[in-house]
Amino acid sequence: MNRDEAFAQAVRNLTDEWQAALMRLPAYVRASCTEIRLRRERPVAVLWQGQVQFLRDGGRLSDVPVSDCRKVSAAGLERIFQRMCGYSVHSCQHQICAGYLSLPGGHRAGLCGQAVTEQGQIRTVRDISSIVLRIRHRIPEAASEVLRYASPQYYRGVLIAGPPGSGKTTILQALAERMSQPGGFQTAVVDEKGELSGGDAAGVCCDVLYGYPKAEGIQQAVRNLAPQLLICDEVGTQAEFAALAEGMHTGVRIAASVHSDDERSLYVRPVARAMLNSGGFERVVLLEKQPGRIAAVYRVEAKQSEAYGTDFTLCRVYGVGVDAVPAVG
Amino acid sequence: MRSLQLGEYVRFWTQFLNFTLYAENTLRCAGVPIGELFRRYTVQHPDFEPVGECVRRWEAGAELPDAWAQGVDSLWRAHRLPEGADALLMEFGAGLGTTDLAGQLSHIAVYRVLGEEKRAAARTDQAAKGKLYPVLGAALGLGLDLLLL
Repeated sequence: MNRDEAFAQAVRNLTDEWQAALMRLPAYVRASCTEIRLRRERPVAVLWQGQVQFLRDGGRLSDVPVSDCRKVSAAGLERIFQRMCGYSVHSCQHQICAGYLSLPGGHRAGLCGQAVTEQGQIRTVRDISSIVLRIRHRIPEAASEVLRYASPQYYRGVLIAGPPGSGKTTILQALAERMSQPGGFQTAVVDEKGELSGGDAAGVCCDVLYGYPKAEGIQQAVRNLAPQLLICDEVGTQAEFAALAEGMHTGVRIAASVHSDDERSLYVRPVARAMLNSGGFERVVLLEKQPGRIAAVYRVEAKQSEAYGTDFTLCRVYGVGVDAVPAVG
Repeated sequence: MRSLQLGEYVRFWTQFLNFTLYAENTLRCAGVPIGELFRRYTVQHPDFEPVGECVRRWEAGAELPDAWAQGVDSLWRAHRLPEGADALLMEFGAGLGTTDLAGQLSHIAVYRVLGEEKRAAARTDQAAKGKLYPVLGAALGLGLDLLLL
């Protein structure tokens, strides 16, 4: 599926009116579009090649909101939400409470509205006010650069770090596809949001735990599926890390991703710090804000960092200011 | 003819109540999407027309709420629904799938109560008029016979 087809597949989750409006965008915009932001009674924003523009009549775009920008009404947004749920809100309750919807093809919709809480827990979300449609692009070659410096074949733990939209999920998808081919690893993918696999196994030797909460999925994969490689996107809580830690040092190789802006945040963000302190990761790939571009690759050394008070030190092996010659294998 | 129709009405509301029971159990246990629920029910009970009609239209490409509304409307126009069924079925279908599980179960429970009331009314009608119509028919036939003789 090429990028234009991925765009068409993603917008099929919208109502007919919005499908038609968005399919009028120029082909080069459709091919590089990564997000469509629908806000109640606000102009529809299209994110492509890192820039945000607003949709006008006839598929034209504008840098600033102007009078003929297309706006989505409250009723229209509700209809889109219902359609994205397959007219079955009750079937997507777990996802809605977590603020997203997994869509066919691995695309994702981020949700925003009014939370209905009970004893401090979100029970549901009503009056949807924004929907962010994130378009999944499959780029099998995205993993090539990562595999050169941090292949799970050689390192038992690989952490992909980067800011939102930097391509962490795309790289993990490609890794899952490449590593789960015959002759590779028996791979388990914990795919809570349906983005890594789009609901399908990537390679022939890939088991996908689709829709499982991450911590639960990691535990079940390690205990029941005996994977050689475990892939998990966006480890963000201590519970998820604790589950991941169970799999470490048991012969299971791990490729995971975390949100991180720069090298410093890998030291100071609690989950990233805990993951690297655990000794389970040997390589860290830090991505730039520009999707899919590597800023640096680090070797994780079991050496105390005086500056940050951690049990590990990151030693740059790729990128500006290399500390050591890259070692592959 | 009319007495047969009264029997049909009772049967329709019984089918509706059976469907609400099925929907409640399936949603509670499996949480399946509404489209899938309809499809499964149609396979097992093809004789309940509103659901079957909705599935046919949905599979032909209509949006699920539109498919339900169009299906009910066409059955109503074809006089294949009892009196008052169209409004009740429209409202019932419009609420399906729009809330969380607790909301769905409550919605179905409300319409089961309304469906039971309709069936009770249909049974009362059947009991009161079901014998009346054959007697009237027979009397009319007898009268005609006497007149012709």
